[in-house]
Amino acid sequence: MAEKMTAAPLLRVENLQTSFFTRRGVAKVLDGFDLELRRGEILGLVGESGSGKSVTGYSIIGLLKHPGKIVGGEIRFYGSKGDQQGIDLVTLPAKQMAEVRGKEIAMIFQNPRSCLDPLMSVGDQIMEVLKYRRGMSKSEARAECIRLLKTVHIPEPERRMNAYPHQLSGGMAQRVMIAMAISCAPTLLIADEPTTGLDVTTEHQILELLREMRDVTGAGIILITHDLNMAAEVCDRITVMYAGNTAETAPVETFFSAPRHPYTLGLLASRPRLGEEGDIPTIPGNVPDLIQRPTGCPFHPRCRWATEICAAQEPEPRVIGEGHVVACHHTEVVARDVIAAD
Amino acid sequence: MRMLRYILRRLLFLVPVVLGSIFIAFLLTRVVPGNPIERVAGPYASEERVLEMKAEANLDKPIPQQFLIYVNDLLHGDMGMSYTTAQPVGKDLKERFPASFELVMFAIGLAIVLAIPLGVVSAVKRGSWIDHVARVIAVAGVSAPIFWIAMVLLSIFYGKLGWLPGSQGRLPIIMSPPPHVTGMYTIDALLAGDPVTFKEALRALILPVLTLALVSMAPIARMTRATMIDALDSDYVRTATSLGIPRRTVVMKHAFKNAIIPVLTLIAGVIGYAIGGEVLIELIFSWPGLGLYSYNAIMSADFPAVQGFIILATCLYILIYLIVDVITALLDPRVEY
Repeated sequence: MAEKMTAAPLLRVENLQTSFFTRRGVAKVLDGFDLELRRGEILGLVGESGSGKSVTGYSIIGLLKHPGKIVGGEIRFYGSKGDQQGIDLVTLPAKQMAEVRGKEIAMIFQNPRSCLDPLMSVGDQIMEVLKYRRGMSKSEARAECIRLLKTVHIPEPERRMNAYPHQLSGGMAQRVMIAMAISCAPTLLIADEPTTGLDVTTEHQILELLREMRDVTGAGIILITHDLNMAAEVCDRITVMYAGNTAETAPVETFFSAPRHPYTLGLLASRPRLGEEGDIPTIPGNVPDLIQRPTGCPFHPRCRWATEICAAQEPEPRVIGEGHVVACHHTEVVARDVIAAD
Repeated sequence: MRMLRYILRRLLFLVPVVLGSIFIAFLLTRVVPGNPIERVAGPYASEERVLEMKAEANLDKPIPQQFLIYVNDLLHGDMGMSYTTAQPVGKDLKERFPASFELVMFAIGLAIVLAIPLGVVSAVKRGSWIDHVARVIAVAGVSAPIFWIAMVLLSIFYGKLGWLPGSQGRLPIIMSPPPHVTGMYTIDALLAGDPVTFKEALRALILPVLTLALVSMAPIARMTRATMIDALDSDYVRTATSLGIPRRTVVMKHAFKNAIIPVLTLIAGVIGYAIGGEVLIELIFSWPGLGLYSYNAIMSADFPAVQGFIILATCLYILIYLIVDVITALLDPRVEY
């Protein structure tokens, strides 16, 4: 763990601003978002629906759909070449970005079955990637495809190669997606809610597989999820997003033992737990309208610690412990209250 | 093998559908006012002669009995005699079929070749000038009536410019058709090695084909654009893009293949529509095909001819859908057959 803390950075997102230019107005979905990922690390990116988690993923891999656009900030990627300077993915020309995609950065998505071409066998789809991205011949690609399917623990790979996506279960399809994603040994893997729609057992297996892939390939993984339990299971660090901002980042133990952002506290409190009676406490209010964002701290309309300063001024992220960063004006007050409540 | 069984099973379906269409065709001709015998016999025929002719055509019998006689004859390959041409209906249809077939196939072929690329390009380059051109064609093709398009084309290319023949039929009157092989003049002329006839047959085809093609293009281009946009927006295209597969491959191999399947089914419908639209086009261009034949048959209450045409059209329609379904089954592994 300590080794990982000091490991070289793989990705550093700074002050990222992604907006969607809709007919109603400009929705600032990411508004000064920061994130750091080290090599070989699994970072959980958590937040409510609409907090900008997926948009972060798409911004990094350059797959934002119209009318979404990165309007500011930097995504510095240090890649496999070990470049000290790194490359800024925001300003990278489209052609070079296409080179990076798949080879250096890969992504897996939710609903894996719809992510595979229904008219092509899964073997053909994997071999297509190997042909275009690794320049393999047909026989080489076939052998490599079988090896990849074995790596993701698909039984009888020679036979499964000929299966079509509709013949696979969701879990199998996600394994195929992971096999495709790691086929070019990317250094960064973005997993966007990879277990949505899968049953609990399968979910666990897929998470286990992601961790295994990290150990095998040494890639850094960003796990986008709204499920804190899932993040607790596999992540080394967790970043909480709120309305396109970074609320809190902490190593996983700190995150659960000493959370300090009021939003994080709300998220943790609203987790359903076994053996507890009564209603699950919820965070009052809703995710703010991203077209008319609240002034100051975006969470202040829903925050019980909010004071005037919260509405007036956006809190700067502050380091309050080992790898623990919180963007809140009242961290000390919150800490005192939390400790008192315990 | 499984495919063959599927085709046979589908052909078996033909039986009830054709029986139904025979029944409806028969009923429709009886319900519609008009007495064929009086027309054939003429105003000066004697009462007895009319009755005699009615008996010959079995029209004096009760309608259910007429139906049974008709079906029985059909089963023996006899579609009855046409009152207007005084020939067996089967022979009439066989003679006229190639003229219509040639026209429809050229038109649908042209429509497909133009409309599908147009739809694909306008989906890939949404909002570009090609997209706008496609939209204009789609709106015009859907909203402009066939006869109006035919008139405009005729008045320009025949009336004003004089480049193409007008309403002359398949060949200039002074020319005789090429030796019969397929019945399609362009192909028969080529087979006979007769470039002059080929050229004239082709020139005669241009305007009717263009009219029918324009009308058929609109729905095909629109559907291709819509399904292509869906496919380009799909999760599997996003996957392929995220893996760095070249854009060209993503568009043609992943998006297009998926987008074309619903278009195929639509094309079957368009062909069916073209068979109907043909009636007007053949009328305007004096094209001696099935459309003109059925038009004349309806106008003169020629029961056997109308029934024959409806049955033939039904069979063609089912056959086209069968072909499309077979292609779809071959393309799409999700289709059970």
